[in-house]
Amino acid sequence: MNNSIKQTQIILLVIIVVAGGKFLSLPGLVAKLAGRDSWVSMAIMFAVDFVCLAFILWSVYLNKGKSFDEILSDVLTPVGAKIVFLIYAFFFILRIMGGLLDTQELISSTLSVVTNWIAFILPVLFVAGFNVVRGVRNIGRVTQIFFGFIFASVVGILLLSLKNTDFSNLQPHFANGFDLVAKTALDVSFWFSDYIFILFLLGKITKTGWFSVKVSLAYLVGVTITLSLDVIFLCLFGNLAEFSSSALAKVSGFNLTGSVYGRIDWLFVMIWASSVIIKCTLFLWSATMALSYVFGIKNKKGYIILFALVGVLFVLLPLVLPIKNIIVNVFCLGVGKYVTIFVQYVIPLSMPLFTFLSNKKTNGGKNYAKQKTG
Amino acid sequence: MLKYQFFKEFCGFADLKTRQLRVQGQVVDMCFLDGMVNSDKVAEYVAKPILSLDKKPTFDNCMQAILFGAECIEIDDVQSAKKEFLDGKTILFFCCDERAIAVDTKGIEYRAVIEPPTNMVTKGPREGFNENVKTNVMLLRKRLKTSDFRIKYLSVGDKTNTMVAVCWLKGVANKKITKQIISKIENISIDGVIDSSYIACYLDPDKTNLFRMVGSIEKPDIVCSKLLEGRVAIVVDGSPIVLTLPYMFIEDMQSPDDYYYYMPQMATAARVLRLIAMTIAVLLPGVYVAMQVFHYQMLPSKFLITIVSATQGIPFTPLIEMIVVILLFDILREANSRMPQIAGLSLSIVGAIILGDAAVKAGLLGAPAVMIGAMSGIGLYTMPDNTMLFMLMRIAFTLLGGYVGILGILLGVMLVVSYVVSLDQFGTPYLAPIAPSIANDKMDALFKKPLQDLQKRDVSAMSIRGKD
Repeated sequence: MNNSIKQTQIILLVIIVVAGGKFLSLPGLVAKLAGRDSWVSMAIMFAVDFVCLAFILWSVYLNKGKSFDEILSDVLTPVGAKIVFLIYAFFFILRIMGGLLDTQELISSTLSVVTNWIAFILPVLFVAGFNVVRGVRNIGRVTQIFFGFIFASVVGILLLSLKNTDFSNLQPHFANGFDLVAKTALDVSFWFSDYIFILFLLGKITKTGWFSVKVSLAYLVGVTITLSLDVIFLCLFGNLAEFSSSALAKVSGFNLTGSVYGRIDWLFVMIWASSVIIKCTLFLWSATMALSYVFGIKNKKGYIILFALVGVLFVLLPLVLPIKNIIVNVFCLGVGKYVTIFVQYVIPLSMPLFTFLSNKKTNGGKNYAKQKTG
Repeated sequence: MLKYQFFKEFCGFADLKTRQLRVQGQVVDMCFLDGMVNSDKVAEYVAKPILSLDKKPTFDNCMQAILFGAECIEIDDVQSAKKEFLDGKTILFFCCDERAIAVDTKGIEYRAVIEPPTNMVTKGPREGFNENVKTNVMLLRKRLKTSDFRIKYLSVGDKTNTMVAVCWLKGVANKKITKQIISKIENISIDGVIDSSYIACYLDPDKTNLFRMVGSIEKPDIVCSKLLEGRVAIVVDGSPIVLTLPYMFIEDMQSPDDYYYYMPQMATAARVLRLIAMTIAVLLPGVYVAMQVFHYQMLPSKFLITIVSATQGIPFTPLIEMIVVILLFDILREANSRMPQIAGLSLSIVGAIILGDAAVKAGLLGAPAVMIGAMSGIGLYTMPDNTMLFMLMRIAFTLLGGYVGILGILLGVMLVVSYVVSLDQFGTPYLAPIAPSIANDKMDALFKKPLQDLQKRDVSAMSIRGKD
């Protein structure tokens, strides 16, 4: 498992994870909760995320080569750190399942390929697993290869849809008040804070010039793409937006020249789907890392066993539990969101302080060792 | 003792020739392998100087006399004597002396230095390597007139004792990589090395052996440019193919012609075309089958009508139809490469035109499938070194397209990309400079910059100056 990664790869990954997967069932769900102003709810969450990202980048700046688990173990004690990592693993697994279930639905509704969950998840897990075992460096390199195609496909979808977009559908603004928009932002927070994978790269990032600025700009690019697609979705569908489960499949369907060019948008949709797979692979890597900290696994064989266990969960859980309903009712509308908010927002916001305390502890330890030996 | 051991070893050799040269009452035993030596050289540079000696033919006197005409070395053990003798040298044994002289009188016939059938260029040098390691090294040496050009000769193969020359430019190639390559070659345990591809197998880190990670070149000008980039070249006796390391996928997209056009835009256009052709070759049959089976709405209506009318009455499913077309093409290609050249041309015309046309007219295959199969087949040859790999990949992607549709193809591509990006050799990533992205090396990757802009050496080839 090679977990060294280049800055460029992190930047591309940030764009991919921010935009990837947010255009499946999320726009329909947000539209259901906040109506025409749903894009504002998403914008609010992105703004909150930006603050958290800034705190994470601050801790990257402060960090003196320590990994995430070392920092948390120093500050929260090893037991506390393990509890936090368990929540992280749980959060990542839920996010991946949600994303993949939505992707399966997108493919079924777009390409008319009826695939059952097992037939869909096994090849996806195989691809993801291969990359997880090879390490985050592999995921970064795959992203470098696919990024151009994914970006072109998003531009293609935007251009195909733009022609029929009626921007007046966004009005009237705040018809149901701003409170509803803000509450919706809190309700859908589960789908955000994608950049927290950076925490698992702590100690592996080489800090060279303008890293924080570049990552922040990458984040803004991802936000712009997502919000643009969401606004177009709302403009195209207006009040009917809440009934669309796979937003991406619907948006590009408004291309009226379909009979002349064929459903070329499906090709774009499929290429875009690779961004969801990359995102899920990255989250799977993060989940595996989190579990490896919990169980103290440090060798490749251990990672493979862990991944196999997680894989079994992925295959079986959606067959016995209504995962999508659980995500919506417990982690979006229910109290479950307060558990995930802890790892999504509380930990990232505390990271600069944790890093500072951990550094101080290490320095103190060194001085103590010096005194003792001196 | 040395003479006794030597003759005991080679007793009964049909092509062993021995002569006794008697000078001033003392005998010098001369032996060589018939056919391996040039008899004129033996007479002129060995027999004549010894026979014209006006003093006793001792080891020192003979060595002095022969040294004027031919390269000779002193031998004092039977193993060295065997090695030199089997290499085509003439061995001289002396009375009461445990030393022998090996004289270079090799007279093996080699192919001339001609334009190689692979790596042909429209403009540029036409010289190609032949099967003689010395000639091949000379072809490199004459282009690299610098004391930095270093060669290390190794002997590989327990039975063949094949000479392998590892060449590099001191101060340019990475020392560590050079050492690793030499060490790997030294550790090869094999009966015989018939061709450089045998060595390549031991240097290729790809466990699946699908992706070629060792460069194979038949032109000295290209090898020289690789050496100048910091790579290491391996010349093997008996093979006109010189290996270069480290090797990256992007090199498959580069052709020697790219460097002899003075317009870099032409090279860029050609490389982009090769990439498109490769993509078409590997993915088009699969995408076509997927569209026919699952996603026919993706096709423009007029195109769809044409395909439907062309495939009406075809007794096979789209997947089987495409697999048949691909297999037909591959059988023709394989037969064409094996059959005699004169028959090859006429038979390929019979195969390609008559067979294809007859199959369409008989209603067994659809014209679009034949056309797509042919397009894909031709595309394979834009990167001729990887034809077999791409051939296998297009069958795999066609099966994926036929069974799972575009999703299957997408996952297949992701798996292949994931595997390829994980490959590296001596620390050089196989997909560099694309993944990982290396700005300096991208100047001569898919897009080529003018020669005067290429100021720094490739970092991916791990050259010393490039790392600065």
